Amino acid sequence: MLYFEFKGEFGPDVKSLEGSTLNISATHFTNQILIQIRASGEMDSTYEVTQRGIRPMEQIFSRPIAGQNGVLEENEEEEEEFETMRDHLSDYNVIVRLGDSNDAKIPVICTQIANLYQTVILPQSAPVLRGDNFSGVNLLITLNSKMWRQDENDSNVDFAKLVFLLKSIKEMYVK
Amino acid sequence: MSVKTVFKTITSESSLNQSIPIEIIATIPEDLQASKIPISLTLCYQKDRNNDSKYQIPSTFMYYHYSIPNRLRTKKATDDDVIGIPLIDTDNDWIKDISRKIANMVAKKYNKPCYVAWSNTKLMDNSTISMDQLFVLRSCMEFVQSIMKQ
Repeated sequence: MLYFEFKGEFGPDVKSLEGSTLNISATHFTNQILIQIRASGEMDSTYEVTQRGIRPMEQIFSRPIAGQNGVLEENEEEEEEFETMRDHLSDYNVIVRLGDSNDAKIPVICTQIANLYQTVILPQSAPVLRGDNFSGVNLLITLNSKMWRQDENDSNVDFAKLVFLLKSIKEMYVK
Repeated sequence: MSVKTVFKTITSESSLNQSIPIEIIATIPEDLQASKIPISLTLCYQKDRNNDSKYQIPSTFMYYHYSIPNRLRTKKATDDDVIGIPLIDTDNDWIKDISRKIANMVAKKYNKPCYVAWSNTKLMDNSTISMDQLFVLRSCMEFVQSIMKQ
């Protein structure tokens, strides 16, 4: 088992959780990555995140295989004009394994974590961490749903929590 | 409220020629009274282990079980002490059985929720399992007990 862990503490920008610990552990298997996120030690809900559909072409060719680095310079400006916005978060399918299926917030958090793995962590890490099917992430996330319920009416605090969580996950792999 | 993580590899001593190590990663609460903090066990059944590099062997995730002490329990003898649910299911009954038993026993003994994740280094069918279920169960319980005491 390939195992990573991280221990952090919430800062003052998350008042309701300030000072409480955040423990993250990730175990990489060949077919799945198990992520356990404990806020104040607790965790109660489990979500499974898989890639939906075929991977978009631009993601496959984001890094050219060899030689020319994409389009010529003079054409670049034109290209920018026609660039379409992609909603990367709709590429993921979130399955509630255990938890409140009416909670619309946690699936968003899970897709953000999946997108972090798909675009940053897995492409940069050793091949052994990616497992057999690098065609798409397959995550199993167990987290503390209470952590997201405390500041129901303040989306800024939720955003701060999410940024801290994603930063922590990234940091876990830097060490 | 903090947690700690402990690693261990257990090997059967009775049948040396067929001993298959099982690697355990356990996360337990530091405060043993905290009944809301779950114990999580990640197990790896290392069949065909061919090197000694610790904790770096890729394995396949098979089964994930969650058990929780039944807090609504009345004193009737027919009521269940522990309720559990498979989060990721498998068709391998041996794995399902052993993981469920470990989760239920840990949840019951320590009165805390318990997650058990089972993985193999190689895909297997029922015929290839040579390890005694009781031995695995006993070793896991002994290991959890030893770290909960510290």
